[in-house]
Amino acid sequence: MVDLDKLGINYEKIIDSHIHLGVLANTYYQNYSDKKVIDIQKRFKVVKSFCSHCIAFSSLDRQMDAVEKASGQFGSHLYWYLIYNPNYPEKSIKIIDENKDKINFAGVKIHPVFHLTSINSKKYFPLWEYASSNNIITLTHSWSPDTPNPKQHLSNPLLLKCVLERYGDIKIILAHSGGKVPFYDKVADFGKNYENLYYDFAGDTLYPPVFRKFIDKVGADKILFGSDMPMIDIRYHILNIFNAGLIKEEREKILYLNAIKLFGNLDKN
Amino acid sequence: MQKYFDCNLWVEGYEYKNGATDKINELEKKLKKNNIDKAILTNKLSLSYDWEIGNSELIENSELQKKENIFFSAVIVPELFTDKNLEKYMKKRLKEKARIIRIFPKSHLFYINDFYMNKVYDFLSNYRIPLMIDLKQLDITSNKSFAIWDLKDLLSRHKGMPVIMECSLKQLMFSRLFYPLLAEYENLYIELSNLLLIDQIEDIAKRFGSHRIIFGSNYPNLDLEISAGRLMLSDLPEKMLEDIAYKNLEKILRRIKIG
Repeated sequence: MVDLDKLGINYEKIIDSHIHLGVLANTYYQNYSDKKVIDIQKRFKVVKSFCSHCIAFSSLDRQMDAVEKASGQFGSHLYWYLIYNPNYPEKSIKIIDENKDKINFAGVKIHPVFHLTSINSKKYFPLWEYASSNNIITLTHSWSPDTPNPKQHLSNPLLLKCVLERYGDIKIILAHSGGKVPFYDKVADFGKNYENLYYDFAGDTLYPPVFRKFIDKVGADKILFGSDMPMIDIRYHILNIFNAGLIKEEREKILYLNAIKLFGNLDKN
Repeated sequence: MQKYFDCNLWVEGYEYKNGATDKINELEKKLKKNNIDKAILTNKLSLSYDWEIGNSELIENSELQKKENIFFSAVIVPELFTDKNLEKYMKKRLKEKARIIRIFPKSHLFYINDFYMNKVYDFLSNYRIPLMIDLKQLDITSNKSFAIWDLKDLLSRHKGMPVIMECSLKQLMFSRLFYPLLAEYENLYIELSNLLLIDQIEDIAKRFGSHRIIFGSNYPNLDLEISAGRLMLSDLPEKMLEDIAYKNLEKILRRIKIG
């Protein structure tokens, strides 16, 4: 058993607001299994994992089978983001609407890069309308436009300005918070204007000072713990937050209290 | 508490110029805090400006030379073979505690297997000096199209030369590229700082043996606390952790024919 204490790491529990089950075609997961992902989550005291299933990025038709199967296996540990594919807006909304009360539904996940649709595209407007009417939280991939991958400009979070001004009531979590260290300041400054924006630092950028940067600008209440498991081993993100120089109260908010507040009663189903 | 031998620690050489004892003390303090018992330093200037000005600035620093726990890497390019006396140069650098040779063929625009470089590899192979290469440097098109055949050629032609592969483009470590290479070439080792995928360090250790993984922090690109801490949070047996953190690199360096 791994001894967290020997690294001075001590916490009660984690709610991981950003994981995936399933695989990506370009990634070599050695002996992948859903069980391996959840076992590691549990080993590091994750009590709830908020998940989208990777199969849904390429096939909406297969999404609910995958969700039901994993829900059967892991029960109330998992909460689900269902995918909205802007290229199939009606179908996406139909699946979300028909299933949101049947599963541990957390919200909707969008990925502008996977779906090659800019985050401010009109193709997302059916989702924003639906989210606004039904008080649904959206988790969106967000990344800096200044990266070698030109497709990432589609997920520039600053492009959400027109959406947030039109739909002031919707709650959006910026997954990765723009993803790149030189871009974090711009995202945090942008966020100061919008009460309903939330942030995670999931993914492959491990940069402890990001926590203080965002706390100072948008407040500790707006930050959620996210790992991006299984692409990024959760241990990196535990080390990331524990090396950020936070006080215990700030850390606890990020590790689980903010998620409880944002998502409400987590054991309703 | 586990101690570490770090093969991949980057510094701004000018900050450590002779007499800058505060800066050197600060580095030592940082290493001590994270149980980095020994470290191999590389000067960023060798990558970004001039390989040899960078090497000289750092390696010939008399204050750093006095530190028993500090070693260096030397960055090289093909003209090492034409413009200098290879044997004389390498022996001098070895004497000055350079223990790893690094190449950046994409950044420095040369072909990894050119005539000159093969002469250098022959030398490294004879002296069993490790070569460190970033997989990203083989991404010729910047679109993840890797010159793996060139790496395979290098590994098979110079079996006496340990090759430590790092990857500063994190996504590449998720790839299917390096497992077959580890299976095929015993002289290939993986530096662990960007093994970010779920249980990846553990899987490589179990599949290919913990002796194939070398600890590198990639500091300051990644915090020392994070790279060292990740290993501490592993459930690998104590012996394997010790090998990865320290002994594997020590073993490779012990085989160098310094004399």
